[in-house]
Amino acid sequence: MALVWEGFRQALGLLWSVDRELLAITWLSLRVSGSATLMAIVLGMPVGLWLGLSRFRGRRFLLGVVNTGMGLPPVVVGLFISILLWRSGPLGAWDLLYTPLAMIMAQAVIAFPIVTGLTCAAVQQLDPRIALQALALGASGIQLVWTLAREARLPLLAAIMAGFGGVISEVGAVMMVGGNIRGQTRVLTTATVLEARMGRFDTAIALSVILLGLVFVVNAVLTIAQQQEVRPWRRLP
Amino acid sequence: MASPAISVRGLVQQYQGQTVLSVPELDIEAGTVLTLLGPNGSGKSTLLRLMGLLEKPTSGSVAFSGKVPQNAGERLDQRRRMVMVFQDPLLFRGTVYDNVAYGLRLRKFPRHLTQRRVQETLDLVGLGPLGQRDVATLSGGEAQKAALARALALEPEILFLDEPTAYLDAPARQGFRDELLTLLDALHITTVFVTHDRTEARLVSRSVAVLFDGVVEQTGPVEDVFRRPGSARLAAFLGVENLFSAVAEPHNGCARLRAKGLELTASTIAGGEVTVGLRPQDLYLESPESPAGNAVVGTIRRLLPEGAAYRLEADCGVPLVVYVSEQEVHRWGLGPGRPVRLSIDPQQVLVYGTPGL
Repeated sequence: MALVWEGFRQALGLLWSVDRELLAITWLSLRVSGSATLMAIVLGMPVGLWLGLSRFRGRRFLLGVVNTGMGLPPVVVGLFISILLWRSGPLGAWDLLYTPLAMIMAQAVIAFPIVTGLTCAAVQQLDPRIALQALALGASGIQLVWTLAREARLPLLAAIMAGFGGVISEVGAVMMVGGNIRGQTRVLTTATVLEARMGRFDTAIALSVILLGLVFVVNAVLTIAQQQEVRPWRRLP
Repeated sequence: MASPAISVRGLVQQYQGQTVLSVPELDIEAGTVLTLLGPNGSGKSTLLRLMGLLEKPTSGSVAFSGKVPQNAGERLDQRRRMVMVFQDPLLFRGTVYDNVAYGLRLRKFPRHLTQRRVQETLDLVGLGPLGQRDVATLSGGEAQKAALARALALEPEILFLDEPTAYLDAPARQGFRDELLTLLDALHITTVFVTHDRTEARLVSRSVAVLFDGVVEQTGPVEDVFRRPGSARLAAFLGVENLFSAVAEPHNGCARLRAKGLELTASTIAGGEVTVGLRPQDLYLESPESPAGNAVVGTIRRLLPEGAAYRLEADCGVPLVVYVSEQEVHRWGLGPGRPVRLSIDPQQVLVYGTPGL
């Protein structure tokens, strides 16, 4: 227990001293996971909306693939992205292995099925008559999708939170494609693993506390946005 | 002559190979209110969705002022000239204001005009002070009024109302219906009103189309349809409680009808086995000692209070129902076991070719 308290004390010390390396690691974690989540939103939400709202042959199979992807082990993703990015791999010419961009790619692959699957579930749980009502009020196809996304905004924000939570906390993929290179690809999770391996548990705990704090702050912001249901409006005089 | 606001031609809708609606022809004149009346599952809402361009028909067409929308763009343009209110208010998350402004925002209506239009419409339906209320906090009646305001704010050329009172409790239904009638009278919007409630149908419109099993069985002025339903099952649905089998014989240009224990004359030519319909409101009480006329005699079985009147059930060979006032009950000394004589104008006797029910 003393070790844990020492970890907390050290975390506060690190934050208080504004440790440059720690700030760089934290910023890189946020940048990599934030970018990966953004990519997953840009690609996954339209796919999730499409899967949730349309009916076509093979849709169930695709849903099964997406749902399986939600449980994709990060280390497996890391391995396949590494193979793709190896010098001799199909994308080897891009020379991306052990760069933050490779880490973003790997984490985007992990977040994509999470965001897609939860987006699909979010729009599927809507009353189908809502779509009919929107059309009856004159919505075009795009306006209909936008309306349904707005109606499902609470579970959609949950999908974003789940996607971000899934990637900020993973270590296997970023370790494999990033290599945990000090000053270049070291993020909070890989740094924590390294510190623990070296027996510096107090620093590892300090990094974990910072990671948890980061996840909490990001999710708190999203939760506040999620819970802001009613916009104020003033009656005309 | 101007084209009808809506012209339905050869409209057929099938789901999984099963025909659920078949309407060869139906016209709705501009500025009028037409009620689509029918039991649940008769195809009313399907017809409404097809007219509202919310579904594609298996075959047939719906024209608006003589023009059939040909492509997606024209369909969207036409959809934006009409609006539908459903049974359930189906309000979107947010405030009443957001909901009423929704359609205007879709149409990129200027912001300052949107605010004014929303406020005017909320005032029109009596929800003026509730603009900033979260829709989750509204009562059933308020929610349905908000849904109506959301539709009326668009100043549509055509208004579709799909059983808008179905989910309301009795007092809320009464209030909403009164409000609706006032609005429809004032606004003169071409309106198609769907209901399974015959009382509501008579209140709301002057024209009615009655649907059964996906087919329009009868159309016309509402009182004509209720007075002379076109078939025995239509009569049963429209409240002709006294329906029984009889044998008809032509007699002096009329038909003499004989059923178990009664004999009546109808001003129609019929022969053979028929179904006879007597609307309770066409039967009137006479003294049992009255001279012979077009009347039946029997014994009162039950006398039940129903609203402001009494429901009198009599055994006249066949069971007959008539509604009597409290005054009549006292004047005639009516009660179970007492004799009763019910008279009817031969012109009001309904005779249908199909025997039995």
